[in-house]
Amino acid sequence: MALKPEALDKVIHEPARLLIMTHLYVVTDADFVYLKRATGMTAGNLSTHLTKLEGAGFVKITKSFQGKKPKTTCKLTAKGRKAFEEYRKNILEVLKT
Amino acid sequence: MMTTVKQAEKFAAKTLTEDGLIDFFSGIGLIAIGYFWLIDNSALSAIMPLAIVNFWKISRKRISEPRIGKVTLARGKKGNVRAGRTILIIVSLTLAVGVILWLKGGAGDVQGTWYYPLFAAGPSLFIATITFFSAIYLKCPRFFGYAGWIIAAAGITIWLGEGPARALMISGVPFLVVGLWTFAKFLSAHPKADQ
Repeated sequence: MALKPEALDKVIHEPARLLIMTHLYVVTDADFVYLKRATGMTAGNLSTHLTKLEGAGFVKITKSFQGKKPKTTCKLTAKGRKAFEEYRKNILEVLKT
Repeated sequence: MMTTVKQAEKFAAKTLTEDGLIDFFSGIGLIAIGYFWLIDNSALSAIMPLAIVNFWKISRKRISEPRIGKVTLARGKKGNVRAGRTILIIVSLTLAVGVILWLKGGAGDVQGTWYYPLFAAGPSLFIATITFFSAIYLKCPRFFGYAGWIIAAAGITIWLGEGPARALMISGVPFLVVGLWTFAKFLSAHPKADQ
């Protein structure tokens, strides 16, 4: 049976967000500095995409202070993890020959 | 460029080893444990691993994390964790058998007894096993080299008639040297980042 277009989550399908989701999928949590280095994005770009992923309920963002410095920690929510696995399964299905 | 899940796993694991601090502190730890054992200060020898782990954590927090960020690795694959635990239990039991035989023999000089190699190689074998599984978990090939070196160092020291303390001290040297070199490279490659 053919996959419906909505089978590929639009929030995850965007390349930058897919990259963030991939990096968060393999770890328990990661801070902003790590994600910036892992994805190669600018701080502003990364922040925008993280906000979108947080809005979709895929990422949980925790802001704290380490001394006087702000610290942002991100982790995939259970919903985000499930959505990523679903996306992965579906995209593999689409690309199957 | 897109990243595969495997590449992302590698990247995350590399974050824990690319600063060389884990090597450096492991080296210091092994040399210190061996030294305190050699001068018969087993209390200091016993608290060394805990002290080293704390020094490593503090150093990472102060030096590495501001530069490359912080990541908490996910637990290893169930099969790998189970295999690691089983081998560690076998090695621990071997070590325990060595100690029991030593105590049964009056806790005296074990040199010359048939179980001396087991007694002398036990601690090194135990640490080599941990190092071997660290290499798998951290996806860091140089730790396989360290594990091999620990076993070779134990073999050589036993052959020379030396005890386990010297084997541990010799085992720590490559950790220390590689750690320092990697740390120097890391500092020059990663200036402090702002959040």
